[in-house]
Amino acid sequence: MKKITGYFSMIFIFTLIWIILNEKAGATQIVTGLILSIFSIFFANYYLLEEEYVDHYSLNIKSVIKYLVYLIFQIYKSGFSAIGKIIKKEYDVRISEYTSCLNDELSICLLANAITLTPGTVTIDKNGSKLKILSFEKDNIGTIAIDSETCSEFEKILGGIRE
Amino acid sequence: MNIIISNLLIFVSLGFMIFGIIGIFRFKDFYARILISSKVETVGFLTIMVGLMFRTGISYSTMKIMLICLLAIITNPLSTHAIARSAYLSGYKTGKEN
Repeated sequence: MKKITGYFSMIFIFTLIWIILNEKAGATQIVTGLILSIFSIFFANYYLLEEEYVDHYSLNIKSVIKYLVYLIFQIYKSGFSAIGKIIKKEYDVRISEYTSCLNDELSICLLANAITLTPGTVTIDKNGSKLKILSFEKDNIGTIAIDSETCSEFEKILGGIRE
Repeated sequence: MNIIISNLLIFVSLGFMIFGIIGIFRFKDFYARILISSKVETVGFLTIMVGLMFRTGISYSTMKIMLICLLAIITNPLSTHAIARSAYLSGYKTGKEN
């Protein structure tokens, strides 16, 4: 039942994207959107993925929204702090290793993605839950506190991203 | 009113981009330049897109811009990551290690 709901929500999202791209919500757009959504999901299931599509990409919408809001807030926060660094010409960098408390591959990739999106930090390597992060010296990474032992706010949000 | 907010946001985004470019020229270390260049492509880009959203109002174009923003958020870090990773794997050292 959960899988069927997952497939229905995926088809709904893809149809919505199709309607936005067509800039019209007529019957033709809705029907073609539904057909293409179903086709693309089944194509991915049979030819691209080993597991089913919903098992890979079923995400909790609430957590995704939380993730995006928190990410944008962090991007701007770090953006302003980076301006200070440019003015003061502080450009000592360090490469440090960070072990995430997340276990899920997709969540770790989203964390790495968020770190790279934040100005002043770039993920340069990923090995399991261990991330190699390039950042400015003596800088607490915007998204995570690099020297901290506890889970960051970001990791707490990403922990609940799977449905 | 929307046009004023839009112009203001586009102006702010240009400010972010200018600071990013100044940073690239001011910093002498390769890794520091990589770190600061992500500022231009994320903060500047997102602000300019929000500015454009205000300009177009509630319409399909705004939703298209939101889709573009979402795609940019997912795909933007890839180029920065690929360049930084290849430099790291090639043994390129940070300014302090040199």
